[in-house]
Amino acid sequence: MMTARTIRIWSATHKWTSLICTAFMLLLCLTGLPLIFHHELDHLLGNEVEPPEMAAGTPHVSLDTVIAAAKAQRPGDVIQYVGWDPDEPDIVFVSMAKTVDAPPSELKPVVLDARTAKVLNEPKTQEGFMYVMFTLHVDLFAGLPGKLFLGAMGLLLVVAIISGVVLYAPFMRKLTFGTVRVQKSRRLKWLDTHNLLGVVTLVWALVVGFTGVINTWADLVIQLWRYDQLATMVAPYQGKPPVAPDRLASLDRVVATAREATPGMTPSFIAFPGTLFSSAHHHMVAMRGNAPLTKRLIRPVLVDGETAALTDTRELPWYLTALLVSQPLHFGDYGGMPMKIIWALLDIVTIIVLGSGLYLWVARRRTSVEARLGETVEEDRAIPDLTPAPVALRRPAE
Amino acid sequence: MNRTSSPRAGNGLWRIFGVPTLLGVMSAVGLISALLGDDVWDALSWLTLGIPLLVIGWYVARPVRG
Repeated sequence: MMTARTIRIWSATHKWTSLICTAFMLLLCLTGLPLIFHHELDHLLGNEVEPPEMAAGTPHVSLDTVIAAAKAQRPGDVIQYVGWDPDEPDIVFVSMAKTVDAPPSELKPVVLDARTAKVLNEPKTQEGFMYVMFTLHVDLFAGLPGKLFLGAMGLLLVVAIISGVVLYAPFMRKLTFGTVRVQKSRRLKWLDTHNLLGVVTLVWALVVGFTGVINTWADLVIQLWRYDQLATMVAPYQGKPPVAPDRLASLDRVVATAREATPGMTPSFIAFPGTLFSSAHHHMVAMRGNAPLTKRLIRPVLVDGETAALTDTRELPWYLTALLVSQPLHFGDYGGMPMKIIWALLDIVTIIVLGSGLYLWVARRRTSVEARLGETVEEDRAIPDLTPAPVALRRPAE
Repeated sequence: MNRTSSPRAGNGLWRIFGVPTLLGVMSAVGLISALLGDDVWDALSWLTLGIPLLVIGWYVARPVRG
């Protein structure tokens, strides 16, 4: 068992890491709740469209026709990305902006029907309730520094959870699992509730917390990939002028090249030359697998933007794979509606753990951990103490 | 799980962490299984992630008197 000193250290760790991160974690839990259901809410709020009913298997028009329609919709803008939703193959998402290197916040999406090249929707992604929830959750409206700050808060949460588990042992030494002492005092009731809810949701909270931290590093990890892998793949093009927009190769030929290079895989999205995910001379076609796990992983294929010839393709490095795997584990979007509901309930349980933790600090911040442990032991006095408990665990003399 | 069972050092830790460990392993299985496949794998995930919620519901609705 732990000595008094170890318990004091863990107790201080739990108190301070929790106190620093709790306000932000409450914000993340509250804003995260609607984000779990963003797909459903976007439909409700009219920011997402269903493709119109057509005979099953209606063939798709060429990609060049689709992007021409997008350009006609937003003349003067250029295309940064073209992408697909694996669950809605009849829809093409085209992201446009004033320039190829405009930041993601300036992207204007155009949603088109892959079978008719008709524009279905131009969702407003920079306004409304979901935008506010999303931005608060991701970066507090403070860009990369905001993301990294929330990541640091997430790391504190991880330490708070681990120290909480360590403290669970001395607090539960004399109690059966699940004990909630409802009749002794309000504070004791909430202490037991905090311990029960915290320990039961432990693994989920650790995984969602830590994968959230990994997501805050996404921008950095993508930059790492650009310097580490992309730079070597496009090295032969160094010094060449960027491809002029009017000299871009046919997008259908670009995709055909990528498909040929990665048999059995499906395009997930295409980054146009000059964007974050490509070089100034290349289309980067991100190919995905088709199995439940591999459809979330991508293999980048670099295709010459002017000739549509294959330049290079490599396995995704481990750090990008880790990022892609951490996303579903954070979002809870990989097991249908029942999983989303479970995610929401676990999120609510976490809010109660955070709130009760805060209450316990407010209600009893002037007593030492020994006194609190003593209280736990005292209320179990009826049972003979067989363990040679450390002195500190015994109730201090009154 | 018996309150009167001998709380000796080694088995004391197991007494405290037995149920939480079991629920933790279940949660981990649920988090991973839905990543690996659909249908049955999803259902396994709902079951193993749902049980910790049911456990909370059980003890909050019918508190063990301490």
